[in-house]
Amino acid sequence: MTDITFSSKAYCKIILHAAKYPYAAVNGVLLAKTPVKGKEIEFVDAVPLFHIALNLTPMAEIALTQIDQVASQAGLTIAGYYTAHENLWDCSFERAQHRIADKIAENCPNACLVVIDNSKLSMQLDNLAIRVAQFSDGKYREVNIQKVSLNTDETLDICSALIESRDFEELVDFDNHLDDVSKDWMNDSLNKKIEMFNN
Amino acid sequence: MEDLSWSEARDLFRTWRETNARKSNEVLYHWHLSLNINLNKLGNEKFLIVEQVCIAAFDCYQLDVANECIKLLSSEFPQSLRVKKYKAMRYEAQEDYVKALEILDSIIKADKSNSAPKKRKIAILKAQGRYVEAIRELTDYLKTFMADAEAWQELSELYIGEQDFAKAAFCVEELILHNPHNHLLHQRYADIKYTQGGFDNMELARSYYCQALKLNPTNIRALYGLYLTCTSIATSQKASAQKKKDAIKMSEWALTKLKGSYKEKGFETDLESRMSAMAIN
Repeated sequence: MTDITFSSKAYCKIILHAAKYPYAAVNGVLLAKTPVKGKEIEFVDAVPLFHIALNLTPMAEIALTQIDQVASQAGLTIAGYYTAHENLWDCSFERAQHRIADKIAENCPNACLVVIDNSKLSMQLDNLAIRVAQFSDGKYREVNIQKVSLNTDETLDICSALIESRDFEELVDFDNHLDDVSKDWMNDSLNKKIEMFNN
Repeated sequence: MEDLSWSEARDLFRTWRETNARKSNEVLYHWHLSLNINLNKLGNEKFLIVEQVCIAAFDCYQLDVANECIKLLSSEFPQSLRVKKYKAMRYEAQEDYVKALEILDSIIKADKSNSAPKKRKIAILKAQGRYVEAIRELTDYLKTFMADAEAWQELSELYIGEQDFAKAAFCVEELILHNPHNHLLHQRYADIKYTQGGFDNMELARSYYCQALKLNPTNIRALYGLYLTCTSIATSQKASAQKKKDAIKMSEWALTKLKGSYKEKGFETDLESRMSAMAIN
Protein backbone atom coordinates (compact mmCIF):
# COMPACT_ATOMS: atom_id res chain seq x y z
CA MET A 1 0.00 0.00 0.00
CA THR A 2 1.41 3.35 -0.94
CA ASP A 3 1.38 6.26 1.41
CA ILE A 4 2.47 9.06 -0.89
CA THR A 5 0.98 9.58 -4.34
CA PHE A 6 1.66 12.16 -7.02
CA SER A 7 -0.82 13.13 -9.75
CA SER A 8 0.53 13.58 -13.28
CA LYS A 9 0.15 17.34 -12.92
CA ALA A 10 2.23 17.46 -9.74
CA TYR A 11 4.98 15.09 -10.85
CA CYS A 12 5.34 16.50 -14.36
CA LYS A 13 5.62 20.08 -13.16
CA ILE A 14 8.31 19.14 -10.63
CA ILE A 15 10.37 17.46 -13.35
CA LEU A 16 9.72 20.17 -15.93
CA HIS A 17 10.86 22.84 -13.49
CA ALA A 18 14.16 21.01 -12.99
CA ALA A 19 14.45 20.50 -16.75
CA LYS A 20 13.92 24.18 -17.46
CA TYR A 21 16.87 25.18 -15.26
CA PRO A 22 19.39 22.35 -15.53
CA TYR A 23 22.20 24.54 -14.23
CA ALA A 24 20.41 25.91 -11.17
CA ALA A 25 18.83 24.76 -7.96
CA VAL A 26 15.04 25.01 -8.08
CA ASN A 27 12.29 24.65 -5.53
CA GLY A 28 8.53 24.71 -5.23
CA VAL A 29 5.59 23.58 -3.13
CA LEU A 30 3.18 20.70 -3.41
CA LEU A 31 -0.58 20.90 -2.93
CA ALA A 32 -2.95 18.26 -1.59
CA LYS A 33 -6.72 18.23 -1.09
CA THR A 34 -7.93 19.63 2.19
CA PRO A 35 -8.12 18.14 4.77
CA VAL A 36 -4.78 16.34 4.93
CA LYS A 37 -5.29 13.59 7.48
CA GLY A 38 -2.79 10.99 8.50
CA LYS A 39 0.32 9.85 6.72
CA GLU A 40 -1.32 9.10 3.40
CA ILE A 41 -1.08 12.09 1.10
CA GLU A 42 -1.96 12.55 -2.53
CA PHE A 43 -0.25 15.54 -4.13
CA VAL A 44 -2.55 16.88 -6.83
CA ASP A 45 -0.58 19.89 -7.95
CA ALA A 46 2.81 21.57 -7.73
CA VAL A 47 3.65 25.28 -7.78
CA PRO A 48 7.20 26.03 -8.95
CA LEU A 49 8.78 28.79 -6.89
CA PHE A 50 12.35 29.85 -7.56
CA HIS A 51 15.51 29.20 -9.48
CA ILE A 52 17.48 32.18 -8.10
CA ALA A 53 18.91 32.60 -4.58
CA LEU A 54 16.72 29.96 -2.96
CA ASN A 55 17.77 30.80 0.58
CA LEU A 56 16.51 34.38 0.59
CA THR A 57 13.18 34.77 2.37
CA PRO A 58 11.23 37.87 1.34
CA MET A 59 9.92 36.60 -2.00
CA ALA A 60 9.31 33.19 -0.45
CA GLU A 61 6.98 34.83 2.08
CA ILE A 62 5.13 36.67 -0.66
CA ALA A 63 4.80 33.49 -2.70
CA LEU A 64 3.58 31.35 0.19
CA THR A 65 0.99 33.93 1.21
CA GLN A 66 -0.44 34.11 -2.29
CA ILE A 67 -0.30 30.37 -2.94
CA ASP A 68 -1.95 29.64 0.39
CA GLN A 69 -4.77 32.03 -0.44
CA VAL A 70 -5.36 30.65 -3.94
CA ALA A 71 -4.97 27.04 -2.80
CA SER A 72 -7.48 27.29 0.05
CA GLN A 73 -10.02 28.85 -2.29
CA ALA A 74 -9.60 25.76 -4.46
CA GLY A 75 -9.93 23.40 -1.50
CA LEU A 76 -6.21 22.60 -1.39
CA THR A 77 -3.48 22.80 1.26
CA ILE A 78 0.26 23.36 0.91
CA ALA A 79 1.43 19.98 2.12
CA GLY A 80 4.87 19.52 0.60
CA TYR A 81 8.07 21.13 -0.64
CA TYR A 82 10.27 19.97 -3.50
CA THR A 83 13.76 20.95 -4.51
CA ALA A 84 16.46 20.00 -6.98
CA HIS A 85 20.06 20.75 -6.07
CA GLU A 86 22.42 22.66 -8.34
CA ASN A 87 24.91 19.82 -8.40
CA LEU A 88 24.06 16.88 -10.64
CA TRP A 89 25.16 14.26 -8.15
CA ASP A 90 23.68 15.82 -5.03
CA CYS A 91 20.32 14.48 -3.90
CA SER A 92 20.83 14.87 -0.18
CA PHE A 93 18.10 15.80 2.25
CA GLU A 94 20.53 17.72 4.46
CA ARG A 95 21.16 20.41 1.90
CA ALA A 96 17.45 20.48 1.06
CA GLN A 97 16.34 21.62 4.51
CA HIS A 98 14.66 24.95 4.03
CA ARG A 99 12.65 27.41 6.10
CA ILE A 100 9.77 26.88 3.70
CA ALA A 101 9.70 23.16 4.46
CA ASP A 102 9.76 23.91 8.21
CA LYS A 103 6.94 26.42 7.80
CA ILE A 104 4.85 23.92 5.85
CA ALA A 105 5.36 21.29 8.55
CA GLU A 106 4.07 23.75 11.15
CA ASN A 107 0.75 23.94 9.34
CA CYS A 108 0.61 20.40 8.04
CA PRO A 109 1.97 17.82 10.47
CA ASN A 110 2.66 15.07 7.94
CA ALA A 111 4.14 17.30 5.24
CA CYS A 112 6.61 15.89 2.74
CA LEU A 113 10.01 17.02 1.52
CA VAL A 114 10.86 15.88 -2.01
CA VAL A 115 14.36 15.95 -3.48
CA ILE A 116 14.82 15.32 -7.19
CA ASP A 117 17.45 12.74 -8.02
CA ASN A 118 19.06 14.66 -10.88
CA SER A 119 21.01 11.65 -12.07
CA LYS A 120 17.77 9.83 -12.90
CA LEU A 121 16.56 12.54 -15.29
CA SER A 122 16.85 11.85 -18.99
CA MET A 123 14.89 12.11 -22.22
CA GLN A 124 13.28 8.75 -21.53
CA LEU A 125 12.07 8.61 -17.96
CA ASP A 126 11.56 5.10 -16.76
CA ASN A 127 11.56 5.33 -13.02
CA LEU A 128 10.79 7.73 -10.20
CA ALA A 129 13.40 10.47 -10.15
CA ILE A 130 12.64 11.60 -6.61
CA ARG A 131 13.40 10.83 -2.98
CA VAL A 132 10.67 11.59 -0.47
CA ALA A 133 10.85 12.36 3.24
CA GLN A 134 7.90 12.84 5.57
CA PHE A 135 7.73 14.97 8.69
CA SER A 136 7.25 13.06 11.92
CA ASP A 137 8.44 13.54 15.48
CA GLY A 138 10.05 16.89 14.82
CA LYS A 139 12.00 16.13 11.65
CA TYR A 140 11.78 14.95 8.07
CA ARG A 141 12.52 11.23 7.73
CA GLU A 142 13.03 9.41 4.44
CA VAL A 143 10.11 7.35 3.19
CA ASN A 144 10.75 3.99 1.53
CA ILE A 145 10.43 4.58 -2.21
CA GLN A 146 8.18 1.51 -2.45
CA LYS A 147 5.57 3.57 -0.64
CA VAL A 148 5.66 6.34 -3.25
CA SER A 149 3.73 6.07 -6.48
CA LEU A 150 2.44 8.04 -9.43
CA ASN A 151 -1.26 8.36 -9.98
CA THR A 152 -1.46 6.98 -13.45
CA ASP A 153 0.78 4.47 -15.17
CA GLU A 154 1.21 6.88 -18.04
CA THR A 155 2.67 9.70 -15.96
CA LEU A 156 6.29 8.89 -16.78
CA ASP A 157 5.49 8.66 -20.50
CA ILE A 158 3.58 11.94 -20.36
CA CYS A 159 6.53 13.55 -18.63
CA SER A 160 8.99 12.23 -21.24
CA ALA A 161 6.78 13.53 -24.03
CA LEU A 162 6.62 16.98 -22.45
CA ILE A 163 10.39 17.10 -22.07
CA GLU A 164 10.93 16.04 -25.66
CA SER A 165 8.61 18.74 -26.97
CA ARG A 166 10.42 21.22 -24.72
CA ASP A 167 7.19 22.22 -22.97
CA PHE A 168 9.24 23.09 -19.91
CA GLU A 169 10.03 26.37 -21.67
CA GLU A 170 6.39 27.28 -21.06
CA LEU A 171 6.52 26.55 -17.35
CA VAL A 172 6.20 29.63 -15.16
CA ASP A 173 7.74 29.74 -11.71
CA PHE A 174 7.38 32.52 -9.17
CA ASP A 175 10.68 34.07 -10.24
CA ASN A 176 9.35 34.28 -13.82
CA HIS A 177 6.18 35.88 -12.46
CA LEU A 178 8.18 38.47 -10.51
CA ASP A 179 10.08 39.33 -13.69
CA ASP A 180 6.82 39.69 -15.61
CA VAL A 181 3.58 39.76 -13.63
CA SER A 182 1.48 38.83 -16.63
CA LYS A 183 2.88 35.28 -16.34
CA ASP A 184 0.64 32.85 -14.46
CA TRP A 185 2.39 30.80 -11.78
CA MET A 186 -0.57 28.44 -11.54
CA ASN A 187 0.39 27.35 -15.07
CA ASP A 188 -3.20 26.95 -16.31
CA SER A 189 -2.23 26.38 -19.93
CA LEU A 190 0.44 23.82 -19.07
CA ASN A 191 -2.03 22.10 -16.74
CA LYS A 192 -4.48 21.76 -19.63
CA LYS A 193 -1.78 20.18 -21.80
CA ILE A 194 -1.06 17.60 -19.11
CA GLU A 195 -4.75 16.88 -18.59
CA MET A 196 -5.18 16.32 -22.32
CA PHE A 197 -2.70 13.45 -22.15
CA ASN A 198 -4.67 11.92 -19.32
CA ASN A 199 -7.93 11.85 -21.26
CA MET B 1 12.90 28.21 -31.03
CA GLU B 2 12.62 30.61 -33.89
CA ASP B 3 14.57 30.08 -37.09
CA LEU B 4 16.74 33.12 -37.69
CA SER B 5 18.98 34.22 -40.53
CA TRP B 6 22.70 34.04 -39.90
CA SER B 7 22.96 37.80 -39.38
CA GLU B 8 20.04 37.84 -36.93
CA ALA B 9 21.63 34.96 -35.04
CA ARG B 10 24.94 36.79 -34.96
CA ASP B 11 23.25 39.84 -33.41
CA LEU B 12 21.41 37.70 -30.89
CA PHE B 13 24.69 36.03 -29.90
CA ARG B 14 26.23 39.44 -29.33
CA THR B 15 23.40 40.42 -26.98
CA TRP B 16 23.85 37.14 -25.10
CA ARG B 17 27.60 37.75 -24.75
CA GLU B 18 27.00 41.25 -23.46
CA THR B 19 24.37 40.22 -20.93
CA ASN B 20 26.16 37.00 -19.96
CA ALA B 21 23.01 35.00 -20.73
CA ARG B 22 23.18 31.21 -20.41
CA LYS B 23 21.31 30.07 -23.52
CA SER B 24 23.36 27.05 -24.40
CA ASN B 25 20.64 25.08 -26.18
CA GLU B 26 19.66 28.07 -28.30
CA VAL B 27 23.30 28.86 -29.13
CA LEU B 28 23.85 25.34 -30.46
CA TYR B 29 20.57 25.40 -32.36
CA HIS B 30 21.53 28.53 -34.28
CA TRP B 31 25.09 27.29 -34.73
CA HIS B 32 23.85 24.17 -36.50
CA LEU B 33 21.14 26.08 -38.38
CA SER B 34 23.00 29.01 -39.87
CA LEU B 35 26.20 30.16 -38.24
CA ASN B 36 28.37 27.12 -38.81
CA ILE B 37 28.04 27.38 -42.58
CA ASN B 38 28.32 31.17 -42.64
CA LEU B 39 31.38 31.32 -40.41
CA ASN B 40 33.48 33.37 -42.78
CA LYS B 41 30.88 36.13 -43.02
CA LEU B 42 31.16 36.87 -39.30
CA GLY B 43 34.16 39.20 -39.54
CA ASN B 44 35.56 40.39 -36.21
CA GLU B 45 33.07 38.37 -34.25
CA LYS B 46 34.01 35.04 -35.78
CA PHE B 47 36.21 33.74 -32.99
CA LEU B 48 34.14 35.33 -30.22
CA ILE B 49 31.24 33.32 -31.57
CA VAL B 50 33.33 30.17 -31.84
CA GLU B 51 34.28 30.59 -28.16
CA GLN B 52 30.63 31.12 -27.26
CA VAL B 53 29.60 27.99 -29.14
CA CYS B 54 32.41 26.01 -27.52
CA ILE B 55 31.18 26.85 -24.04
CA ALA B 56 27.57 26.13 -25.05
CA ALA B 57 28.73 22.77 -26.41
CA PHE B 58 30.37 21.90 -23.08
CA ASP B 59 27.16 22.93 -21.31
CA CYS B 60 25.04 20.64 -23.47
CA TYR B 61 27.68 17.93 -23.67
CA GLN B 62 28.01 18.05 -27.44
CA LEU B 63 31.71 17.26 -27.40
CA ASP B 64 32.02 16.85 -31.17
CA VAL B 65 30.96 20.49 -31.60
CA ALA B 66 33.34 21.54 -28.81
CA ASN B 67 36.21 19.72 -30.52
CA GLU B 68 35.39 21.45 -33.81
CA CYS B 69 35.55 24.82 -32.04
CA ILE B 70 38.81 24.08 -30.27
CA LYS B 71 40.33 23.02 -33.58
CA LEU B 72 39.26 26.32 -35.20
CA LEU B 73 40.61 28.33 -32.28
CA SER B 74 43.87 26.38 -32.09
CA SER B 75 44.67 26.82 -35.75
CA GLU B 76 44.04 30.56 -35.59
CA PHE B 77 45.77 31.13 -32.23
CA PRO B 78 48.38 28.37 -31.93
CA GLN B 79 50.22 29.25 -28.70
CA SER B 80 47.29 30.84 -26.94
CA LEU B 81 46.74 30.28 -23.23
CA ARG B 82 43.14 31.37 -23.71
CA VAL B 83 42.60 28.46 -26.10
CA LYS B 84 44.46 26.12 -23.74
CA LYS B 85 41.82 26.93 -21.13
CA TYR B 86 39.17 25.40 -23.42
CA LYS B 87 41.19 22.21 -23.58
CA ALA B 88 41.06 22.14 -19.79
CA MET B 89 37.32 22.77 -19.90
CA ARG B 90 36.90 19.81 -22.22
CA TYR B 91 38.25 17.58 -19.45
CA GLU B 92 36.01 19.40 -16.95
CA ALA B 93 32.98 18.58 -19.09
CA GLN B 94 33.96 14.92 -18.91
CA GLU B 95 34.45 15.25 -15.13
CA ASP B 96 38.14 14.34 -15.55
CA TYR B 97 39.22 16.95 -13.04
CA VAL B 98 42.75 15.58 -12.60
CA LYS B 99 43.64 16.24 -16.25
CA ALA B 100 41.77 19.56 -16.24
CA LEU B 101 43.70 20.77 -13.19
CA GLU B 102 47.01 19.71 -14.77
CA ILE B 103 46.35 21.99 -17.74
CA LEU B 104 45.03 24.85 -15.61
CA ASP B 105 48.07 24.69 -13.32
CA SER B 106 50.35 24.83 -16.34
CA ILE B 107 48.59 27.96 -17.60
CA ILE B 108 48.94 29.58 -14.18
CA LYS B 109 52.63 28.66 -14.09
CA ALA B 110 53.13 30.29 -17.50
CA ASP B 111 51.27 33.43 -16.48
CA LYS B 112 50.58 34.13 -12.82
CA SER B 113 48.50 37.22 -13.58
CA ASN B 114 46.01 35.25 -15.67
CA SER B 115 42.72 35.23 -13.79
CA ALA B 116 40.75 32.84 -16.02
CA PRO B 117 42.41 29.51 -15.07
CA LYS B 118 42.21 30.44 -11.39
CA LYS B 119 38.46 30.88 -11.73
CA ARG B 120 38.16 27.57 -13.56
CA LYS B 121 39.84 25.83 -10.63
CA ILE B 122 37.24 27.36 -8.32
CA ALA B 123 34.51 26.24 -10.72
CA ILE B 124 35.89 22.69 -10.47
CA LEU B 125 35.64 22.81 -6.67
CA LYS B 126 32.05 23.93 -7.07
CA ALA B 127 31.31 21.13 -9.53
CA GLN B 128 32.64 18.65 -6.98
CA GLY B 129 30.31 20.06 -4.34
CA ARG B 130 33.29 21.34 -2.33
CA TYR B 131 31.59 24.65 -1.57
CA VAL B 132 33.54 25.59 1.55
CA GLU B 133 36.85 25.16 -0.28
CA ALA B 134 35.49 27.03 -3.29
CA ILE B 135 34.61 29.93 -1.00
CA ARG B 136 38.08 29.87 0.54
CA GLU B 137 39.83 29.88 -2.84
CA LEU B 138 37.53 32.57 -4.23
CA THR B 139 38.11 34.81 -1.20
CA ASP B 140 41.83 34.36 -1.75
CA TYR B 141 41.48 35.15 -5.47
CA LEU B 142 39.63 38.38 -4.66
CA LYS B 143 42.52 39.59 -2.48
CA THR B 144 44.49 39.92 -5.72
CA PHE B 145 41.78 40.54 -8.29
CA MET B 146 39.55 42.78 -6.20
CA ALA B 147 37.91 44.55 -9.13
CA ASP B 148 36.48 41.35 -10.58
CA ALA B 149 32.73 41.97 -10.25
CA GLU B 150 31.86 38.54 -11.64
CA ALA B 151 33.87 36.96 -8.84
CA TRP B 152 32.18 39.04 -6.14
CA GLN B 153 28.80 38.03 -7.61
CA GLU B 154 29.75 34.35 -7.55
CA LEU B 155 31.06 34.63 -3.99
CA SER B 156 27.86 36.31 -2.80
CA GLU B 157 25.82 33.47 -4.29
CA LEU B 158 28.06 30.83 -2.72
CA TYR B 159 27.61 32.49 0.68
CA ILE B 160 23.83 32.62 0.17
CA GLY B 161 23.96 28.91 -0.63
CA GLU B 162 25.78 28.28 2.63
CA GLN B 163 23.37 30.60 4.48
CA ASP B 164 26.20 32.90 5.57
CA PHE B 165 24.14 36.02 4.96
CA ALA B 166 26.47 38.49 6.68
CA LYS B 167 29.32 37.61 4.31
CA ALA B 168 26.95 37.53 1.33
CA ALA B 169 25.86 41.06 2.22
CA PHE B 170 29.50 42.17 2.32
CA CYS B 171 30.03 40.89 -1.22
CA VAL B 172 26.96 42.70 -2.48
CA GLU B 173 28.26 45.88 -0.82
CA GLU B 174 31.42 45.53 -2.95
CA LEU B 175 29.27 45.10 -6.04
CA ILE B 176 27.21 48.18 -5.19
CA LEU B 177 30.43 50.18 -4.87
CA HIS B 178 31.37 49.07 -8.39
CA ASN B 179 27.86 49.59 -9.79
CA PRO B 180 25.91 52.07 -7.69
CA HIS B 181 23.21 52.49 -10.33
CA ASN B 182 22.25 48.85 -10.62
CA HIS B 183 18.79 48.51 -9.05
CA LEU B 184 19.12 44.73 -8.86
CA LEU B 185 22.05 44.99 -6.48
CA HIS B 186 20.22 47.29 -4.07
CA GLN B 187 17.25 44.95 -4.17
CA ARG B 188 19.46 41.88 -3.61
CA TYR B 189 21.14 43.61 -0.66
CA ALA B 190 17.73 44.37 0.81
CA ASP B 191 16.66 40.73 0.27
CA ILE B 192 19.69 39.54 2.26
CA LYS B 193 19.12 42.03 5.08
CA TYR B 194 15.46 40.99 5.26
CA THR B 195 16.52 37.37 5.47
CA GLN B 196 18.87 38.17 8.36
CA GLY B 197 15.91 39.69 10.21
CA GLY B 198 15.66 41.93 13.24
CA PHE B 199 14.39 45.50 13.46
CA ASP B 200 17.59 47.25 12.35
CA ASN B 201 17.95 44.98 9.34
CA MET B 202 14.28 45.61 8.46
CA GLU B 203 14.88 49.36 8.40
CA LEU B 204 18.06 48.89 6.38
CA ALA B 205 16.29 46.57 3.96
CA ARG B 206 13.52 49.08 3.55
CA SER B 207 15.90 51.88 2.62
CA TYR B 208 17.63 49.67 0.04
CA TYR B 209 14.28 48.62 -1.47
CA CYS B 210 13.47 52.34 -1.72
CA GLN B 211 16.77 52.99 -3.46
CA ALA B 212 16.11 50.13 -5.88
CA LEU B 213 12.72 51.65 -6.69
CA LYS B 214 14.26 55.08 -7.18
CA LEU B 215 16.57 53.52 -9.77
CA ASN B 216 13.82 51.37 -11.31
CA PRO B 217 10.22 52.04 -10.28
CA THR B 218 9.06 48.84 -11.99
CA ASN B 219 11.12 46.41 -9.90
CA ILE B 220 8.33 44.18 -8.61
CA ARG B 221 10.56 42.41 -6.06
CA ALA B 222 11.49 45.79 -4.58
CA LEU B 223 7.83 46.79 -4.36
CA TYR B 224 6.92 43.57 -2.58
CA GLY B 225 9.99 43.97 -0.40
CA LEU B 226 8.97 47.49 0.52
CA TYR B 227 5.51 46.22 1.43
CA LEU B 228 6.97 43.44 3.58
CA THR B 229 9.48 45.62 5.41
CA CYS B 230 6.89 48.32 6.11
CA THR B 231 4.44 45.73 7.41
CA SER B 232 7.13 44.33 9.66
CA ILE B 233 8.14 47.75 10.97
CA ALA B 234 4.52 48.78 11.55
CA THR B 235 3.91 45.75 13.73
CA SER B 236 7.24 45.85 15.56
CA GLN B 237 7.50 46.64 19.24
CA LYS B 238 10.66 48.61 18.63
CA ALA B 239 8.98 51.16 16.38
CA SER B 240 7.79 54.50 17.73
CA ALA B 241 4.23 55.60 16.97
CA GLN B 242 5.51 57.96 14.29
CA LYS B 243 7.58 55.26 12.62
CA LYS B 244 4.54 53.00 12.62
CA LYS B 245 2.41 55.66 11.00
CA ASP B 246 4.99 56.29 8.30
CA ALA B 247 5.42 52.58 7.69
CA ILE B 248 1.69 52.04 7.23
CA LYS B 249 1.51 54.87 4.73
CA MET B 250 4.47 53.51 2.78
CA SER B 251 3.06 50.01 2.72
CA GLU B 252 -0.22 51.33 1.33
CA TRP B 253 1.73 53.19 -1.34
CA ALA B 254 3.62 50.02 -2.24
CA LEU B 255 0.41 48.00 -2.48
CA THR B 256 -1.16 50.63 -4.74
CA LYS B 257 1.91 50.59 -7.00
CA LEU B 258 1.78 46.81 -7.12
CA LYS B 259 -1.89 46.78 -8.06
CA GLY B 260 -1.11 49.30 -10.77
CA SER B 261 1.68 47.14 -12.18
CA TYR B 262 -0.51 44.03 -12.19
CA LYS B 263 -3.35 45.91 -13.88
CA GLU B 264 -0.98 47.28 -16.51
CA LYS B 265 0.10 43.81 -17.47
CA GLY B 266 -3.47 42.63 -17.65
CA PHE B 267 -2.97 39.89 -15.10
CA GLU B 268 -6.42 39.27 -13.68
CA THR B 269 -5.84 38.82 -10.01
CA ASP B 270 -7.36 39.94 -6.81
CA LEU B 271 -4.04 41.04 -5.33
CA GLU B 272 -5.77 42.53 -2.31
CA SER B 273 -7.28 39.27 -1.18
CA ARG B 274 -4.15 37.31 -2.06
CA MET B 275 -2.18 39.54 0.24
CA SER B 276 -4.90 39.75 2.88
CA ALA B 277 -3.14 37.34 5.20
CA MET B 278 -0.32 39.83 5.55
CA ALA B 279 -2.43 42.95 5.85
CA ILE B 280 -1.96 45.16 8.87
CA ASN B 281 -5.06 45.44 10.99
